[in-house]
Amino acid sequence: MKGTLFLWVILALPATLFIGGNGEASKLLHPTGELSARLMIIAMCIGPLAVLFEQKGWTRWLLKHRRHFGVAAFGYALLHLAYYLIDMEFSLADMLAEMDAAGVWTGWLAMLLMLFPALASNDAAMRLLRQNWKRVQQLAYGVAILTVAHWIFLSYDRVLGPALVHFAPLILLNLARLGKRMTGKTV
Amino acid sequence: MKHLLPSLLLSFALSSAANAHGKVDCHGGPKSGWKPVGLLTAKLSGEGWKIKKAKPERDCYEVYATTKDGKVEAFFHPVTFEKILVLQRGKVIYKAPTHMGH
Repeated sequence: MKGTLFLWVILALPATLFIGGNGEASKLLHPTGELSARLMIIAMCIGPLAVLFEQKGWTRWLLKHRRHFGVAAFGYALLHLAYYLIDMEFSLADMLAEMDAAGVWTGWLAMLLMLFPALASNDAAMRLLRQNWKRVQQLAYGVAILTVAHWIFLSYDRVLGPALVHFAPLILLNLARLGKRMTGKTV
Repeated sequence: MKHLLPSLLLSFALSSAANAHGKVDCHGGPKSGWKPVGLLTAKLSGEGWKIKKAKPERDCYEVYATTKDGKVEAFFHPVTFEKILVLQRGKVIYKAPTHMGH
């Protein structure tokens, strides 16, 4: 319990710095989005790591805290959205005007899709959804793909590097997990 | 190990963020030769741009504004005020023929 509280204090720290720093919304858009993506990547890497390295102390720690990383990723995505709305001065007309930009609609879609696993990240939803709960959580893979697209399309020169470097661990770990399931070998 | 893992994860989560819009080159030359940014914003305001912010960015002037296309981020040559690139969340609205990009 003390460990969880400490983790949440650490996870909330950047938010206090972003909000307390009183910086311009346009300048805080990218850091909040990138932090959300990083936390989502961490949360999504935990499953493959636990399969690959089986019952180790650190994999148990990660599994125990996976939900916190996922919920924090959603929290920073909401902060990212809030800065977008502030940057757009809450103008619906301006938001609609740029909706056809691939960098924009992929972001909205990722946010919308992320709502489902985020809202289901609690024990009550687990009990309610039963076997469907895992399917809801698997929507995170769709969110990850949309996030990569959002990131790449926001850069006018379509630079793939930064987004792919971030998501490479997730791709590699999932491939390794698939390899282990097919061969039955541990890493 | 108990503290190493959370530290590694958090350093990954918090390491500095990169530039979002991509690389833009205006070949503006030395800053001592740049025209004042106020002249650029006055020119753009005259053309109907609602300027939010204008500042030097690498070798360009970068302008955040609302135009007939909506909110844009635009890059100008700091001496000739030639419009180099106009972006809307990564979508290219205008690109000068002289700008090859990266």
